[in-house]
Amino acid sequence: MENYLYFRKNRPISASVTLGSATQTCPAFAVADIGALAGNDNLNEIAAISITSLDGGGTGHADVLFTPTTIVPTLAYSGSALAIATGTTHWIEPSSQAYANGILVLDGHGTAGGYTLDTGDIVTAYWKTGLETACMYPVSALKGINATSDTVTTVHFASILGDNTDDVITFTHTAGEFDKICKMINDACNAYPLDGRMIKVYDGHDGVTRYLNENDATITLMEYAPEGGAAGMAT
Amino acid sequence: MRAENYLYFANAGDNDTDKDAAMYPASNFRGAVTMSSTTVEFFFDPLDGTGTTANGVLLTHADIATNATDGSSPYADDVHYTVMEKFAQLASANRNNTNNFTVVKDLNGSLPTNEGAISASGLTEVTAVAITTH
Repeated sequence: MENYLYFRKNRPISASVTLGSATQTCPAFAVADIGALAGNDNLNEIAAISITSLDGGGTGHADVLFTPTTIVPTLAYSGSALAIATGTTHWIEPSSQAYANGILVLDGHGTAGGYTLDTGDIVTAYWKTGLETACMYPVSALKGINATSDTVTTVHFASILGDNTDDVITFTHTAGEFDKICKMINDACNAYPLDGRMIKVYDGHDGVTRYLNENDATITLMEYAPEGGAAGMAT
Repeated sequence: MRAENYLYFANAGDNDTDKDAAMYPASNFRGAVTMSSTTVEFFFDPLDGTGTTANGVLLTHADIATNATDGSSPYADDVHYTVMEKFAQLASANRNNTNNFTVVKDLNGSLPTNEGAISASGLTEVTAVAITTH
């Protein structure tokens, strides 16, 4: 019997970017919101995308405009083109768009599900759990914790793949909080010695940070890097 | 002798096709990762002895996201967490004087005639099982 350590990345409910020019390539979301930009390319993590138009555009900006009242589990996107009025907000289906390294690239109107963006439009993504957002390891897989600087702590686990490269969780935090992260993990490893349970060590979803035993390590970012990445793990 | 717990998974097949069912010692569990908002995969030591490509059991559950357009949380239901938590409980459930045969999920509805029925169906949150072996 042993415990299992659970971690979940920081994610806000939503994050927005405002277009500085008329382009389909949105500005990058803030690292503080979504974590590292490089490699943040999982459309599965985006529940919905809304666009608030600065100055309208009429039907010239969207061939197919989506106006769902609920996003999931019931996707109710309309297939009818509607005029975009100044200041209105509409929704487009995430799976029709492209997302790589924290940057959304939307299809323009003329493509099914597309929306032509204009200067000043606000694009908002709503996040959910997706590939590698949350993970769980048995305590026996823990190899160690390392303070790589006064603001960065790495937690190493034996690789799920089984090669020689560790799976690594990297926490960015306020200077000097290394000991609190160590204490959290120590508490999780040694809790319920006669039982064996999953222990939530850190959970940053929904724009709220949650720490085991209230060991507030002021974590601002959690990055998860399993060996080989998702492609290597996916079977 | 050290008590060991054995974790059983079966898809909706009839246990008559490759990867219809699998069982692993709990000690062979390497970790679990969410693969989408409706799936979480549990990884175990591979059976081929190479140790370099984990066996996977992908469990499907309800989508964790709900309505986000009204400003409410898209995380109304953390069912992936529930699945992980219950798996951990099952993996640690070995007790003396039991056979330690633990059904994580059995979706098999039509066993071959020479197989006895398994009395437990496992986690109610899981709706599909996909097994990958190496």
